[in-house]
Amino acid sequence: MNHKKIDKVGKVIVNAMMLGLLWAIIALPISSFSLVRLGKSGSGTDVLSEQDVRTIEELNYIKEDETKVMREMYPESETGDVLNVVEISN
Amino acid sequence: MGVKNPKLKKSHKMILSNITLTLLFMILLLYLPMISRTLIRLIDQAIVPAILLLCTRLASVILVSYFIGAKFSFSAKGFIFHDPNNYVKVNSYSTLAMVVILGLGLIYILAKALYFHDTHISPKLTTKLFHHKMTTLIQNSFELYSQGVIWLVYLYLITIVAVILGIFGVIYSWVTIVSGSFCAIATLLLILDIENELDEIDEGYKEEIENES
Repeated sequence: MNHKKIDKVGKVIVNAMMLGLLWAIIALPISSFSLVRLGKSGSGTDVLSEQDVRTIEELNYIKEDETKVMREMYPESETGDVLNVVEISN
Repeated sequence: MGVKNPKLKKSHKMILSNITLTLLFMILLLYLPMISRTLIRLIDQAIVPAILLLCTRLASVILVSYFIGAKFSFSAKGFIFHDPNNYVKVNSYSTLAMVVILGLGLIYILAKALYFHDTHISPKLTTKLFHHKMTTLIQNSFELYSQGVIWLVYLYLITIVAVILGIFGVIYSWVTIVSGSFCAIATLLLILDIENELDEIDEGYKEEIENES
């Protein structure tokens, strides 16, 4: 490669770097929008998560079904902890 | 068999990244005179508004939360609000503060472009400015348009972000409308000045041809 070609490639690289720098400077204040956030549910708020809502709905469904009987069980896990399980039977 | 040290792998990566950075820096130094003059000018003009906007955002978030009595926690993630109403209020007013700061900056640049542009400033005004030692207000097209373009780009980007946030209901929609209006007015005024400038060039060219003939 001769010097002219090397110079051309170098010029393109440096100008691309400068363009990247310009974009980084311009994007800096725009990125400040992500500084202000809303706290997630459960972290000091009374808002229920999707999982919580689904569990409550399922429990209500089971409670409303008169053909089923609920009985609480307390089996032990492998580690010896007592688990609280609800057995549902017809 | 021995276990590979993860720190050793990390240090290899660090050395490689250092070499890459040094190489890039050397290329930058070598080709510094070849960098586009316009790009350097734009980078130079972009630093001040970037810092100004960042400071405005931080200050406005703190001040608005203080005035409306909104509670927030500050962590590595930023300002975290727990009340959605306060979050929307703080977000809206801090965006508005950024738009107002950009608007003021653009009014200053557009005033310079429309009244103190070196191509079409009146002789009376030039004398007055010389008398009051305010000649720095008189600027050429390259300086004015590079400033105007950078500030306008910031305003456009903030408007785009405001539209997206407005769609998701994270800021009030009237903030988006104000931002968009500022954007339209500033663009219109800058285009008017560019048209003025082009007319001046055209007239100068015609005069030159007439003098030659």
